[in-house]
Amino acid sequence: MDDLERQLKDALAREEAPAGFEARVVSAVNQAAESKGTGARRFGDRPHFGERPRWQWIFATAAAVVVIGVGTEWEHHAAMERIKMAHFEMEQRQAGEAAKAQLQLALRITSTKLEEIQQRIGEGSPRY
Amino acid sequence: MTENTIPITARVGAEAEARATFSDVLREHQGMVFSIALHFLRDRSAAEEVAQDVFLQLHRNFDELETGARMTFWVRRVTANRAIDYIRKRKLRTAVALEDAPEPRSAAEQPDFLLGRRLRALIATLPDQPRMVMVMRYQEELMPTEIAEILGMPVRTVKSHLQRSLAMLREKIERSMGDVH
Repeated sequence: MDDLERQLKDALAREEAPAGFEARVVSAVNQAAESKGTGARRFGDRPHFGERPRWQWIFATAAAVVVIGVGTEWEHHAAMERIKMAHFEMEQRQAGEAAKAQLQLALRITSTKLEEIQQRIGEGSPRY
Repeated sequence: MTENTIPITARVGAEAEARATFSDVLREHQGMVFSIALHFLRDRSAAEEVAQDVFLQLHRNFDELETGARMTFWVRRVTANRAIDYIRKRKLRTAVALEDAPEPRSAAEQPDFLLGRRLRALIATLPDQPRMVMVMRYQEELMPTEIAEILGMPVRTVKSHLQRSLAMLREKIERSMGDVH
């Protein structure tokens, strides 16, 4: 090793790391570990397998709410229709029964009148 | 700073005696890593940034790394790669070739204790690979075969970089000394 090489060795001798370097490294390591633990990623990072971006979750939730809402409304509408139909059938049955009763009454009255007329005819006609 | 503040308790090596925590490795190698980056980049804040990246990468790979010489080899190689990548991305290095570098001032004008600064300034003008070879040779005192392994280049290339860089440095220094006489 000649003079120049010895001078190079002196010129390029190791230096101490700056004060607080170790603490800053530890802090950076902890920060990296913490962000990894919470799943936080930097902007622009691609999602990992199985993960979806936040907007996709929002869209899926909104779609689920709409589907559930429409389903509930449809079920309510169908129930109301069933009630209306039952009410209508009951009214029809009651109307039919009333008409039947009126008809029976009319027949009874008619029958009674006919009997009276026959009686009078029998009483007023001459006997031979 | 206590050991507990580092969220890793991984131990290196199978032997109980060879156990080392990340803090141990950080403490042992921080000067080496910072100095390699500093002598290569000639910028203290950039050197600290690179050194911090090296230790973050070390922490991520700590469980898979062996202790001792292999760990030191790994740290040197990652530091060299990070420093070269840094300078390529940031374009910190001025595009001044060694032949075009300004002559150091004569010894009559500057006291001898500034020789080290002159040498560092001249080394800074070398291209990336020869510069890293010089840092590994004269800071880390590694043999050409070790440098070749760390930097992933043939041994003859390392020797060639060393010979050419030394010849140019010698010429620059002697020329400036010759101006005195």
